[in-house]
Amino acid sequence: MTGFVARRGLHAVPVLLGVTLLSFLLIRITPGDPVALMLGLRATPDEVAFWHGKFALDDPLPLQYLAFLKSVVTLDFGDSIQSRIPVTDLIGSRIGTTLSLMVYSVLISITIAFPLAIWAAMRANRMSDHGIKLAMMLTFAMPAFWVGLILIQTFSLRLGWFPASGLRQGILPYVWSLTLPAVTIALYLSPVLVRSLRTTMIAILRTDYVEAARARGLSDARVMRRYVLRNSLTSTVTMIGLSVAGLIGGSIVVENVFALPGIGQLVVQSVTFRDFPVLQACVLLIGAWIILANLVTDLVNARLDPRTRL
Amino acid sequence: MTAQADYGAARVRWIRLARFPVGSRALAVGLTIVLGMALLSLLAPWLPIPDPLKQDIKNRLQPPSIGHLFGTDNLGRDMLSRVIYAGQVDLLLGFVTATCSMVIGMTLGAFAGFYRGKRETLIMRTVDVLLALPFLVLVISILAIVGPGLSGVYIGIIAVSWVIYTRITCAEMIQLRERQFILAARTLAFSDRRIIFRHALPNLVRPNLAWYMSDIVLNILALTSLSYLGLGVQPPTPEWGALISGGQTFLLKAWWISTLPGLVVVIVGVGFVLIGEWVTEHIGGEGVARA
Repeated sequence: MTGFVARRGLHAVPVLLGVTLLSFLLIRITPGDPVALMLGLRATPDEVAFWHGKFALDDPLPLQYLAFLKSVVTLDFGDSIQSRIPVTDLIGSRIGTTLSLMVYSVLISITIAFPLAIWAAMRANRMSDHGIKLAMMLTFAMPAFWVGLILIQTFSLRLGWFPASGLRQGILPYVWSLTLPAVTIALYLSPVLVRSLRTTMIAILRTDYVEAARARGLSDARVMRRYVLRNSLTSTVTMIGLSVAGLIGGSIVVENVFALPGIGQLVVQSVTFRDFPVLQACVLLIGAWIILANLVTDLVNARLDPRTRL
Repeated sequence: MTAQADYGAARVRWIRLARFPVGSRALAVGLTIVLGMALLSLLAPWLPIPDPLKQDIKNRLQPPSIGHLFGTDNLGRDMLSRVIYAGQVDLLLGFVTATCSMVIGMTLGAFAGFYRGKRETLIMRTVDVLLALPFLVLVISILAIVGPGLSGVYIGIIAVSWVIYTRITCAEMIQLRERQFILAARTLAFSDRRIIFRHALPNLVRPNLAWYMSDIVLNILALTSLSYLGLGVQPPTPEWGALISGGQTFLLKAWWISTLPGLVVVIVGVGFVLIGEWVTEHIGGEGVARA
């Protein structure tokens, strides 16, 4: 196991370095002086000098990259241009919202997807297949912000069940105000989960060990619980791990629809205000987040199923 | 497998593509939707619809009726007309960005797969890094540099969405380069460029087509999202995402302003997906399943 962890961890390093290179190049390929572009007309000479030094713009490119890597390792990205707060603090204050939104969406998706997938696998006919295909087609073509607006229109403005925007204080109101955004994202995630779970379950239902269990006279429910669900666990974990990128992409839009103070909202603000230090840190964070998610997925699967360690 | 047998198999598939598939209702529906919307927006100036920018304050926030099928917005502009004209912006972006990405992506993928070695490593590692980040995050980051607006969105999408084509093409090219007709072309001492562009690339279009259909939808959705976020098309130019965004303040008073343009986006998207499904089934490759 230790060997597997080490090997898998090493695999993540080149991509991670690539992501740092990408967020480093982001402002270097700017036509003209990135600092002038970022600070605009209201820049004081002191500020210009500070950011020139911070980005090491007067050094050769490799040295600039080393300086950038140093700021990554020390988590010191300077202050946000827009709000004058250290970038690290800004991200720290917002990461919780995005994380809770993601976890909540995954929980809702699993709650929807599992019963549906079991149902669809047990009656593996064209009806369930077509239903899943149709749902995937629709969610693929629906703009997420539009879905969010429809939900707000129906459940907040007309029915008044949920707040239309922002976060509430206290645990229950907090979860309550995150519900509509999480449902919006779950609408996209669950058809994907249902489809992959159904395929996995159908394959498992056809295995010899399931047939043996049935031949011994075990009930359908018991076969499902002890044999099918258990064995479909790894592919569920894989699907959730793979969906992290989509979840973050989705939360960028959804956080803006529901005015949630998370990373997604911060990314859009940083572009609107050309807040390069914030944008750079966000891109880096999102990349690292996704790479870490993939790593954790593999490790969890290795723990669940020894065969994947090979 | 001999070269001749290969050739025969490839030929049969192309013939099937050329003949219109009777009985494929899904494709017919998809084509009707996509071509219908494209024609509507192309012919918009000659259709009996009001000017999409003409304001009529007296008739503001009118619900859908015979005179205004999609109702009017807060400035009394006809929403149907705006949705149709918006189609010009959105569909054009979808086609142009997907086509450019396909050309760039396939060329890079073919080079990577043909030469292998360092070139493959460099190109495919770049693909890995770009795939490690969400599409929208990358496009938004590029908008930060080139500046928001429609041309920025074009640059951003093309700069990012070539990666999937490269991944598909490289994998196919690695197999293709060992096939008889490529080996024969090499034996004839054709230049690498000629082999890649004249012999290999036409055979590499097929596995990319299904993704091309999905890519158009994804790019249109990216434009609508960016316009909604205020980074794409700026008002008063009609664009589907901008129209939806414009109705946000009137969700309760005038539901149609946001709802109907969104429905049009969904229908057009499903149209492309249906075509893509047919492509997957009859020509190969993967569309939505990959996304």
